[in-house]
Amino acid sequence: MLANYFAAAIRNLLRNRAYTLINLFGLSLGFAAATLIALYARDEFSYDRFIPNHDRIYLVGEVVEPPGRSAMRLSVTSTTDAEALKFAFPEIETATRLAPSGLRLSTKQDNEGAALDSFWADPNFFDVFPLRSIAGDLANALSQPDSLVLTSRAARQLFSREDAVGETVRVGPDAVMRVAAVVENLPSNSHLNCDVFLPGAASFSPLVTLTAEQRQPGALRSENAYTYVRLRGDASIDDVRSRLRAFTDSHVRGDVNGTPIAKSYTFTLTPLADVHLQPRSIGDLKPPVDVRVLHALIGVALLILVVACGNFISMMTARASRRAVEVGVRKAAGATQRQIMIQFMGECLFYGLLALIPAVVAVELVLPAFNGFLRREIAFDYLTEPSLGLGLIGLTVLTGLAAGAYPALYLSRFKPNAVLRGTTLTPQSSRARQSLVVAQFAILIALLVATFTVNRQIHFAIEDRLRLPTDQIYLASPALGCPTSFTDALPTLGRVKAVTCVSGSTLGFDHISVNFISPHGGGNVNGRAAQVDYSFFDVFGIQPIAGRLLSPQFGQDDLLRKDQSTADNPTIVINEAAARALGYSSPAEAVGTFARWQRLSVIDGRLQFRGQSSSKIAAVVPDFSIGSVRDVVGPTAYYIDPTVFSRMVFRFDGGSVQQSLESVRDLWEKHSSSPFQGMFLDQFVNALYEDVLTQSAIFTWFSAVAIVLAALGLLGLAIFTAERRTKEIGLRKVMGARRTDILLFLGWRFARPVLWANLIAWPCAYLVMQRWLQGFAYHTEIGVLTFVIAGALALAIALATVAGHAMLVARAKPMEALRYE
Amino acid sequence: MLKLDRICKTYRTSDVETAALDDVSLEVRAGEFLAIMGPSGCGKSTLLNVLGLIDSPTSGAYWFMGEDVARCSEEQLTLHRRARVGFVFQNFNLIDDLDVAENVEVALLYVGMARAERRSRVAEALERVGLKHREHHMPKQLSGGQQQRVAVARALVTRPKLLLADEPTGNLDSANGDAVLDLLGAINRAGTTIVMVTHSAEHAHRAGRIVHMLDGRVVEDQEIAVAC
Ligand SMILES: Nc1ncnc2c1ncn2[C@@H]1O[C@H](COP(=O)(O)OP(=O)(O)OP(=O)(O)O)[C@@H](O)[C@H]1O
Ligand SMILES: [Mg+2]
Repeated sequence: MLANYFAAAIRNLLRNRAYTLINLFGLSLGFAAATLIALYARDEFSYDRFIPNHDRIYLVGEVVEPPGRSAMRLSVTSTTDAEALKFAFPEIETATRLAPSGLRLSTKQDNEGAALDSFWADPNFFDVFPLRSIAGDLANALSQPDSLVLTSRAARQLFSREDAVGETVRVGPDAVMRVAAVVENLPSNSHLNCDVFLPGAASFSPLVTLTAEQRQPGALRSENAYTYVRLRGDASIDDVRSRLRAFTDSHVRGDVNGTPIAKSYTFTLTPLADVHLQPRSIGDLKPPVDVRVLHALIGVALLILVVACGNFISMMTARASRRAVEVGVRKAAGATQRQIMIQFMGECLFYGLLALIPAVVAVELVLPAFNGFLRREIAFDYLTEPSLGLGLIGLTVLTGLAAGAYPALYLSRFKPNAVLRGTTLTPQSSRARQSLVVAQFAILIALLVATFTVNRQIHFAIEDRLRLPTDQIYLASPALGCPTSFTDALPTLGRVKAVTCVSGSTLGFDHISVNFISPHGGGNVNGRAAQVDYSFFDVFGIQPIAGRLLSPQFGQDDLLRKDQSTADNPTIVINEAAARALGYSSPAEAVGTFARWQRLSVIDGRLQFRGQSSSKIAAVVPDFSIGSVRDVVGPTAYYIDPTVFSRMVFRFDGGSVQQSLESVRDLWEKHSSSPFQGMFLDQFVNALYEDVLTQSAIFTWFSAVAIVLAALGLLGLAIFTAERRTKEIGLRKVMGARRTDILLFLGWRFARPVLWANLIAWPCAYLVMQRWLQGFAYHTEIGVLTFVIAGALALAIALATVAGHAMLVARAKPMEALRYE
Repeated sequence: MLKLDRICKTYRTSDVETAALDDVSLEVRAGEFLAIMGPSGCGKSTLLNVLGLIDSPTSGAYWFMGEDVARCSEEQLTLHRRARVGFVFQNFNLIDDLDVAENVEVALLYVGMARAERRSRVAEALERVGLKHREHHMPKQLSGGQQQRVAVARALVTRPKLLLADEPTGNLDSANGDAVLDLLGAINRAGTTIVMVTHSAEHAHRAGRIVHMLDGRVVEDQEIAVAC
């Protein structure tokens, strides 16, 4: 019985070779794309699950919501939190900390040092994160203040071999430590990205020094450490969470103007496996994945499968009239409808399995490049990993059944008497097939709109928003500081258009607050303090909307350079957000008025708010930030405060950037012995959006797959229809139709579904993409043109696929066409 | 063996109602060779389809081998006709994608028979129509007469009690037509009841009985003394 079905299926397949190949290729492509997306999504959801007991380990985070400002998420906490948590919650079995070091490691021979990600870790770190040791004993590896642990990558980089136990390493400028153990590299699917674990017990480790600082009375809370807690096996996380509020209120001390600081703090406990899936937070070790993007990708995978199935359904039903006789004869011979259905379902499953083989091969071939692009280590061991192998089979079977259900039902419902009487069968399925084509085109158009919009938004984020020559602006490393002896000598070079000294807060690398006392009453306005130099506005090309920028002409502007300890406030420039928050109805209205505010400054070696003092608002500038478009630019006050300047920003004059940089470097080396380091603004911006860029590339590629599939399906259908319509066209020609008439006739037939598809796709795409854009504080608008272009492109694809074939058919001599069937 | 009682079959299209069969009563006895004649469109094929259970009547009663099947569902009709009815069509209706042996085998697929037995039955049927040496040809590679003989082989391979043939010679020249008719005669003599639609008076006269139809009605029922 099977042999008989098989013979029919295979010969039918071979008889429509081109059409079959197109569809099998499409199905293979669909499987391959869906498999890659599934592997990628699985990888994103697999983060940190390799760590034993990961379901009991939590990363402690914070949500800080100062009055009048939007909430900030932090994945770092104070160095004192681990101990306090362990003390307050008996459920916590172990608490351990990690703090970034930024120190360079070097062997004695090589003084340059290697760029390795090193972290200070508590001695019990490997108790919570039991990494596999390659050499040495992990249990006491970090208990000595001068012993460290390397990953095999770090060991190779420093010593060109893995077994480096006992070797000595120079850490930073003056410490020397011994390698106690070498552990396996952390896999790419971990939120940790450590190469080197330094002993947190060392006297100069921030885990020690910051803890001491934080313990001082009146110390302002600062967040510098990653804190992990592991609960006991029988503990309930809900119990712990329910008592966190009370813990916060007693643990976080201090108040601002009478409001306890604790009120703005909420501690969070994120299960280790969910750390990678959280919204972005300040201090993230790796950019987390945007779960919405993952869902969108999974959606695209489903769309790809839907389109591939659609092609398949088209093929099977288009062939229906050819197979009608077979159905009729089989039914006359006593086959039930169910038996016929099973036959055709089986046939579709068979096609599915046939398409699976090239798909698996394709995934194997593409995966190395895919991994390279994503910097992942995604494996595709379907033979050794049963879930993967079964998943593949399951995908195929599901797709085969989904694709086969309608054709099987449709074919098996043929009435034998109608078919066998020999009356020519007019396939009444043409409407179903037309709707399928419309649906496929709608998907194609919607994906085009989505892809365009995603790429436009990325372009906007990277290029349009700053409107700066980002390749001409250089952010010097904070290690260089901002020596005036150097900046004053710079103009003699002639290659630097402007240089400015700024604080980290100005560029958004950290956050220093200002506290405005609203002139119109009703609470304080908390904002960002941006400590700048006169030339800051020059470097970043910022023009005032109203008022004048800071200038040496006005003594009050430069108050703090003359007297660091003054209680008075210097003149400020505020951004539009601040003007709005302070209740001014227009920028011009704000200019010249006096704002009452509190300034953070270093008093007795610690950052503290000074008392309230009024100063003049000199100008209002547009909201500006080199940070992510995902974050709203909050109220910001610019003022001159050399005490917190931490880095220089250069703007070159547009000539050869490399040469300019070289001459600046040369000049620097005359001033200082420390190496000249930093990065261009475009590098910074690209790094900022690295994850978005990767995601958009993936999205674009897979959308392209879906688009190719839809086009392929249409091509197949065009070939088939043109073949079947040969007779009709021949007749039309006999009746006197010209070639152009035929082309128009065929063109219109295929253009019509595209026009319908636009009506469906446009509103859907608009709504979805509008929502996506809302996720960015600053975004482009979806232009009407995007829709028109997407629609036109779809139409072009439709017409192009049809045109070639139509030409052939239309050119045929009428007699040949009539003989054809 | 077959008994039609006041059978009507009407086709309803959007505006017209055609009575393809209008109050037909007819009895076919076991072992009979019956020919149906009549002008085009008078309802011959419809009658044959109703007799063969691939179409059901609008009204009336139909006893098929002792059972009332007029109100049966399609599923039940399928089970009734399985292995009991063989069909031969005017336009052969061979499956293009299957070769000669496979085409014949189709009739045996749904009666639950072991593969080896199917093989021998197919070989036997092809032997009987004289096409054993063509078993691996595709239908397109055969002449019209040969194709119709394959169709006959397919109809008789299940050893049906009833064989229905709708203009089996309509698309054949006289020599081929005669050969097919000889075959049907032999099958009938071996005990199979045959109902055949034909436009050829000569072929009709090789049957034992001729039923004449006009506008969906049986107008004449004529017994013939078997000559040959
Ligand atoms: N599916 C249908 N829908 C509507 N009318 C039908 C249908 N099938 C048959 N008819 C009508 O029923 C009548 C009988 O048709 P039938 O095929 O039985 O005629 P016939 O005697 O076999 O003719 P021919 O000798 O030309 O084959 C015809 O008038 C035909 O138009
Ligand atoms: Mg007929």
